[in-house]
Amino acid sequence: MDTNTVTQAAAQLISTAALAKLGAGLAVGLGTLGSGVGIGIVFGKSIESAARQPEALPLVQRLMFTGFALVEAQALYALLITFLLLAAK
Amino acid sequence: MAEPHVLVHVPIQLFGLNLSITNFVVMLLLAAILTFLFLTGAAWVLRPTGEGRFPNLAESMLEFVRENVSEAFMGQHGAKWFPFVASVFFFILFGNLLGLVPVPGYFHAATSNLNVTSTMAVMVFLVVQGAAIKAHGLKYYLGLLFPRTAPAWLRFSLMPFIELIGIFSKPFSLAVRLFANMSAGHQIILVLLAGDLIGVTYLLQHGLLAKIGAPLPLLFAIVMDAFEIFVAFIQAFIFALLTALYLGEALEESH
Repeated sequence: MDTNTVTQAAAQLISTAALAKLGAGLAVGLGTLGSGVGIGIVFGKSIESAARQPEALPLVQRLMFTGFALVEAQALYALLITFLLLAAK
Repeated sequence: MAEPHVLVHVPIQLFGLNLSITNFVVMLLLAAILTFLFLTGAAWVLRPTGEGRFPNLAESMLEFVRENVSEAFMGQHGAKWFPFVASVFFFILFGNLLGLVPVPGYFHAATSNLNVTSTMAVMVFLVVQGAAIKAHGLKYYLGLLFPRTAPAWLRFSLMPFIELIGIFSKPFSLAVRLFANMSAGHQIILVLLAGDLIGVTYLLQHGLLAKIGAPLPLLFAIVMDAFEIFVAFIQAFIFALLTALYLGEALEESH
């Protein structure tokens, strides 16, 4: 089948604005999966290493906050795409 | 998505660019003035007696930045570049914190605007490239784009493109990380409070259990506001840290 007619038929069923909103929901939903796992790993390893060697706590704390912000940023890249998609018409 | 209220004070159109004085420009000026007053004010208070609580606060924050950011990531160049890194840290910190002042419709975090964070990221990018060229000359780029540690068949075919993407993705990620962190927090609070307003009117028509559950979004919004203060400090620290890291990488002697 010709792709143009398929596209036109699909556009009559679901508008691009609705598809954009669906994509926005999927983007942030799937994007926070990896970030959630990452934050869990960062904090888990930090707590574990602080429990093993309490005198390393200042160093571990500093690295923990650094790692947290960098991992959190990944989920927020997905949130940026969501904002862009929500503004589509 | 809720658009931030941009109030134009002095419309200026120059060479086809919209350079109006808006409330975001006022926020930026306020952040710069606060940075200047905080740091030089601490030095001025310190001068007569050599002690005091306010200079103590400024000194402890500066020491934190120097020890954890400059010295840790830049080694022997840390002392020379510390004023730049500290200025970046304090400007972004005040830019973030001003967004928490509850003046409705006027005060926004200056850094919750993608233009502002992109400008900061482009400035850091130019400073890093300029420092690298000054330290190593133009053959810095030869060493970067054709790294010696790669096998020859990769070194001249694929590595330049990968390294080029790496060079440009760093300021991009700096800008987007700061912008998304600042604007996302405010969006969440807005959604919670707007939803709370709608929810409260609905629930209050439906009995006693609703009256108990209705304030919960408001409490959560208050907790999110406290989290926003934490995020403001963390994001300023991370921006300064990555600036020092990229500078240290660019200035180190050989690959």
